[in-house]
Amino acid sequence: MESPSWNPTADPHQADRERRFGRWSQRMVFVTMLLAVGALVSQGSLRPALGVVVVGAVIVMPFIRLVWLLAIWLHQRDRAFVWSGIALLIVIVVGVVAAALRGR
Amino acid sequence: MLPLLGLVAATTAALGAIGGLGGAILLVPLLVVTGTSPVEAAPLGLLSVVAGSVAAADRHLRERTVNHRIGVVSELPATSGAVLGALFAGVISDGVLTRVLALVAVTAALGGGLRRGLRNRADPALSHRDVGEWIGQAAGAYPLNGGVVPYRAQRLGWGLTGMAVSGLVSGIAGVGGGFIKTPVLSEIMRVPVKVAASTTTFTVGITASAALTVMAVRGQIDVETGVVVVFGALIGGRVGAALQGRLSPPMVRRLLSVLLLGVAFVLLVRG
Repeated sequence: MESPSWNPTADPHQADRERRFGRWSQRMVFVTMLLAVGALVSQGSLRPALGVVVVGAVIVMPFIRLVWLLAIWLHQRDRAFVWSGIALLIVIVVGVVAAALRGR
Repeated sequence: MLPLLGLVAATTAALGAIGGLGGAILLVPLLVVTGTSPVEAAPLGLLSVVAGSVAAADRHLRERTVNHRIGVVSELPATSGAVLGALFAGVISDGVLTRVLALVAVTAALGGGLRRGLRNRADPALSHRDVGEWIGQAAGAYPLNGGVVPYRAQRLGWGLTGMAVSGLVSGIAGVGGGFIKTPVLSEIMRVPVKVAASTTTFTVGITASAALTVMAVRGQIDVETGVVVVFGALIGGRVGAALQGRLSPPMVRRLLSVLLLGVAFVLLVRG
């Protein structure tokens, strides 16, 4: 066991932040599920419109979590990980643009 | 047909959330076998991955089993590899690639399944204030059976190389790659399997969202069927995360091994 070399530097506020984000995420999931039920039982033009909202919400949520993380790490002045997150976002954007252009 | 699709999406998302596999690797072949074209099945599989990831977030955050820092750092080479792989898709024949992926899945299954006991044990010197990810480090601690278990991502060079290769292979093959990422985190980087699975569930959600953005721009997503998959996977992701919380780490590892053998079987049948 390597316990003597562990150097725990947990942020005392991190648990609260994660719980708050978890609750927000849970609410979003609940609302998305309600919208999905609405899309499944509705008729006419409302059905695809609600479907687009549901699919769009699901696609956007992971990016919101990534931006939330960057904000926290910035607040904690954890620069190395902020740069890692920014680099990841750049790679994703480059990948999406490259894939979209390649498909045309 | 649609209720059955929702049920299948819920099941694969639940299995994906328990083992950090994503679940598309199981859902897409099932859809193709039942008559959906691969072009339509791929976005539905990715939707199930994102919805499962989003639904599992609350539970994983509450149980403090997800390490975002390790996730983001390991996802960087994986996504870079996936972008390169997607650009060079077609350089390796599908048959060879599928067999390689199946071999990787079997190796990972044996690596985790044959290992006994726990690598990371509770440290009495740590308190619940130390639980969570640690600032400035690819390390942290998670609660287990009333104790606090510290961990640190080890063999970073090998681990990040493994992530880049997993991204490259998954980019070429058009699969999510969660079934490679969780074993790389767990067996190479020595991250506890629950943390590895929760962290991969978080990262595959980001990767799948990026791929879905491209598919949405191209108009490849069947929204009406997609809603059914999303609904099922939102339920499945929550159930899977809750089940993972109740299982012991060795049990999660064994279940992951069984799932990986299932993935290898599916890949070989598909190939």
